[in-house]
Amino acid sequence: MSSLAESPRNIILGSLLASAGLIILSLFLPRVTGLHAKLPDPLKPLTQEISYKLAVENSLAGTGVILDLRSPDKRAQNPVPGGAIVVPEESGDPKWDKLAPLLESLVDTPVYVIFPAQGEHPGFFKIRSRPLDLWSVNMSH
Amino acid sequence: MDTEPRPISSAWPPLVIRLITGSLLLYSGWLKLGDLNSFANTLDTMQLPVLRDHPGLLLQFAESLPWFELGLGALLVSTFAARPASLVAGMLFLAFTALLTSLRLQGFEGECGCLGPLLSARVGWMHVLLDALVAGACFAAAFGWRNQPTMDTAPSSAETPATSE
Repeated sequence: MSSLAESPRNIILGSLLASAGLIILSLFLPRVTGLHAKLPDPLKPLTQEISYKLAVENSLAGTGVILDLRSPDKRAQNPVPGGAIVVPEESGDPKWDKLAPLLESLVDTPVYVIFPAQGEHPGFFKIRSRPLDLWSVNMSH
Repeated sequence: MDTEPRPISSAWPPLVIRLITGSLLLYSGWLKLGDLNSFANTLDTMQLPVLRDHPGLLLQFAESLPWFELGLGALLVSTFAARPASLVAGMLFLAFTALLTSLRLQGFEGECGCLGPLLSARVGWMHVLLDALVAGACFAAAFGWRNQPTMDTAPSSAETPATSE
């Protein structure tokens, strides 16, 4: 290769081309090879479901807790009788540190999750990473 | 055609750096591919910006990075596009250095995930230092030496310096 090809400008251009090629390759190959990653079991979508009425009854009886992921407006319009746990939307929020002992104490307690009507609550990803007994609350019942 | 041999001192250090770094990336990528779930879990515990709130992106990143490492490792070992590949490797290890520094400063206590499930060591300043050293070596291999032996520089094609050394 000549010195021209070894000029810093050409090296940088070559590295950009190489990066682009590698990125395309790395995005493409998982689909071709079928080698996919999945998150651990506690992170799987919830398969357990409970009606809102029964969740509230259990919560009031102290045999379970409700985690309310709805928007503040929705929570204010239709508050959960007896109260519910509310978590921050941002994973980096310092309030998570304060919530940590509470969440750790819930390991053996059913946690009934009320999801937002639309979209996802970013904080739920953090909740799912904990070994909790999570149930999806069906609000239509 | 000039058949003057290159000085060994300037020809081999970058080649050695590329071979070591390339082998490291090949090995690292291969190990991660062998246990993608473990690597995804390690990334999850790091709570990286953007990825922590988007599981789909996290999984995509976990699935893609090993292939990126394998491809880059292959480029480095084959010495095809040697200098650009060295620069990409330098940027990659620089990114690793910045990431591990950030995690250490935040008090992260988890595993580094550098070599997949093989190296289950916790992130420490030694990891940061090693990544920084590899990054520096790769940048040196990209820009630091002239007359590097590559597949596209045949042994007989000695340099005709067009740029000042």
